[in-house]
Amino acid sequence: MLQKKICMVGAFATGKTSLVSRFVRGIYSDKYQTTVGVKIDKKTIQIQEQMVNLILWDIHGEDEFQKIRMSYVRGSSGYILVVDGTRSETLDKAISLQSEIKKEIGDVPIIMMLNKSDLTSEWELDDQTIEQLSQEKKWTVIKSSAKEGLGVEKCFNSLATQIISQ
Amino acid sequence: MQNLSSDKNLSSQSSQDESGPSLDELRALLLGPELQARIKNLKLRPEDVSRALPEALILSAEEQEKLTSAAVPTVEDAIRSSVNQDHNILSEALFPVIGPATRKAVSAALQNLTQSLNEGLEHSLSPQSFQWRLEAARTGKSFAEIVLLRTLLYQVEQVLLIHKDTGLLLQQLVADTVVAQDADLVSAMLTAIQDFIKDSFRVERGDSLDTLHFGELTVWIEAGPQALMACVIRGTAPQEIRGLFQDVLEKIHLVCGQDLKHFHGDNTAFAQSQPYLQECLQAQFKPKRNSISPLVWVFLGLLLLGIGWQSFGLYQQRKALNNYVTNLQQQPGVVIINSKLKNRKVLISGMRDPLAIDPLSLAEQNDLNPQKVQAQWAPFLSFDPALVKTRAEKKLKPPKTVAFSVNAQNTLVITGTAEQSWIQQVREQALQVPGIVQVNTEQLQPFEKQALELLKDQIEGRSILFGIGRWKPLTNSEPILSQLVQDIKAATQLANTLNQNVIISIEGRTDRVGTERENLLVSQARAESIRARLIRRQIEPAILRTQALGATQNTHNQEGRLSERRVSFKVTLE
Repeated sequence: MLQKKICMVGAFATGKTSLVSRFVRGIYSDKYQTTVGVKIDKKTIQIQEQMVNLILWDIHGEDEFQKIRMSYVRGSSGYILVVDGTRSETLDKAISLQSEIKKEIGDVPIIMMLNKSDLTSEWELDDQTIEQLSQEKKWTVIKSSAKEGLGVEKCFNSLATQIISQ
Repeated sequence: MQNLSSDKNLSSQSSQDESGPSLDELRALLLGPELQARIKNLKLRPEDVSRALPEALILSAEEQEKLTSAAVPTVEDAIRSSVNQDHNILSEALFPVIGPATRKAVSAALQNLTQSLNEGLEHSLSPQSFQWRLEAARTGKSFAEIVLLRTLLYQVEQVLLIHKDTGLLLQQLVADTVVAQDADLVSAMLTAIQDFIKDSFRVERGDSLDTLHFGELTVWIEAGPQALMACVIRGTAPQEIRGLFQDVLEKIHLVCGQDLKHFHGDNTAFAQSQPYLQECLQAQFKPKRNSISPLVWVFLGLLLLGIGWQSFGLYQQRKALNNYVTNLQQQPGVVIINSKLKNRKVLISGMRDPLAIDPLSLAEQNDLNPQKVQAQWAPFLSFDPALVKTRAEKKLKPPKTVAFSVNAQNTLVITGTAEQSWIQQVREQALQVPGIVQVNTEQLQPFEKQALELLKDQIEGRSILFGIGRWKPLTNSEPILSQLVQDIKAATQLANTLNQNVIISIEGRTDRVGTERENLLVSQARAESIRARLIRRQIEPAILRTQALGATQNTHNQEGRLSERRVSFKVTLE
């Protein structure tokens, strides 16, 4: 069976752990618990008739006090940039993180998840910016909601497909 | 080289066709002046080799280890030559490596020593340490060695082969009976921990986390260029085993080097590492102590108690049986042929005289339950004197006045008194009693004879008194007479049974008063008077005789003279 390391990166409190929890265990909790270091989960999915074991490294969110350790992303076959759609600054953080990661591991498939899509009233990202970003960076951008499970499976499956297709 | 050979062939062929001018032109057009010059001079040029060598080396490395093997002697010679010429060059080159390597070796040695010391201290005061000290003295080994020998018990429960860059699990082996956690997560987490430590602390480049301790679990991590090997150990493993892990990792790198280098998530190629990983699943177990559950001890105790109780019961029963048999054997008329215990019952067989004691009646006396005694007796007649006596008593039915005894010669000795008729019967029948050889009745007297003697004494003891000069008895003599009559009749009857006759001699007496003649006459009259009175009372006259004795005594007082005037009786048996 194929195994692939996938990292979840992004600013703090963007919902990386919740996305992994929704994807792996199908559950969601409102209770916020910050990730210290890294949490690892796995899920086996089928892509193009091939079973793929995704090893998900849920890396702590980056903020002004805590930088992401690049050693954690080393060896990743792809990664997910998680952005909190209700906080536009997390998009900038994701872009800067991607730049750092690219330096460390080169070009690998990326998916950008615009999380918390269920909070429409608080949404700060406009579609035009997102479209522009998608075209400019050639990233797959998916709106998601860990709370409601929207776009979660699609995002991971899409990333796994890109990785396999490489 | 193949190309060069082809070129050579081409060159020779070309020289043969040298004569043709058209060919020369064609050659000049195709090859140009440079190639033509090189064809003419086929020697390998260093610049060509230097250009091809790196690529050749890469290709050779991909084709297994042939180049490495081929290069080893040359490299070794080169190193040796370099050291011989100037050892400073090599030492300077190796300096950055030697430092960390030495530190690592010293650290490992110190760790070993600490481990040994800790264990030594731990066991130095335990009761078992004395046993180990004795063993150390006996075998000549140091105490520390013995402690290590006896305490290094461990099991390598899992071996994980992890890709170094990605932290992905390449292979996993788990010892039997061990329940392993999700190895994918474990390997990723181990890698994360490695990365965390490397990032968080200042560590030398090339250093890696090599040991994790958690309770009695230890994870030894061996790092290779492409892969890590994490060995999960329960207990305390000897440091030597670490060498084995390193060897295994090196072998895996050798065998799977290319797969490791080009790993993209497919771990199927690493199945070939399984035999090597299998080597790592080492285990050393302390010999199992006979730690028996207290319940088993209780059970065994109860079992022993039960067996003891049973044995004691059997012993008691056997003892009781022996006593019983001994007791029975002492009983007359009982012969024991066989006796045994079976299923807690007493089985006994033999012969028994019907008159002998009932064997069951002795069972209880000998602490045996009569209901658990099964006896088989064959009847027989015992000549034991005691039983012969009983048999005789039963047959002859002696009166209470008679006693039987049987002596060792089986002579029936009968003593006492009995009726004459019975005595006669006994004399006739005694010898018919089985076991009686002879009958002795010397001490057996007929009852009648004795009674007759008694009556005789009674009759002879009676006197009838008379007045002076009178032959008519005193009036108060009537009761004596009546009694006398009864006695005489009884005596006559008894004498008849004894085939004898009773003769009653009536002796008349007087006092001294008067003459002798007168006294004789008076005494005769007195005797006749009594005889007549007896006859009147149905006494056979034939047995009554009279005798006049006159005055036989000489008394002077009144009372004495009265007693002299009397009639007395003499009884004779004929």
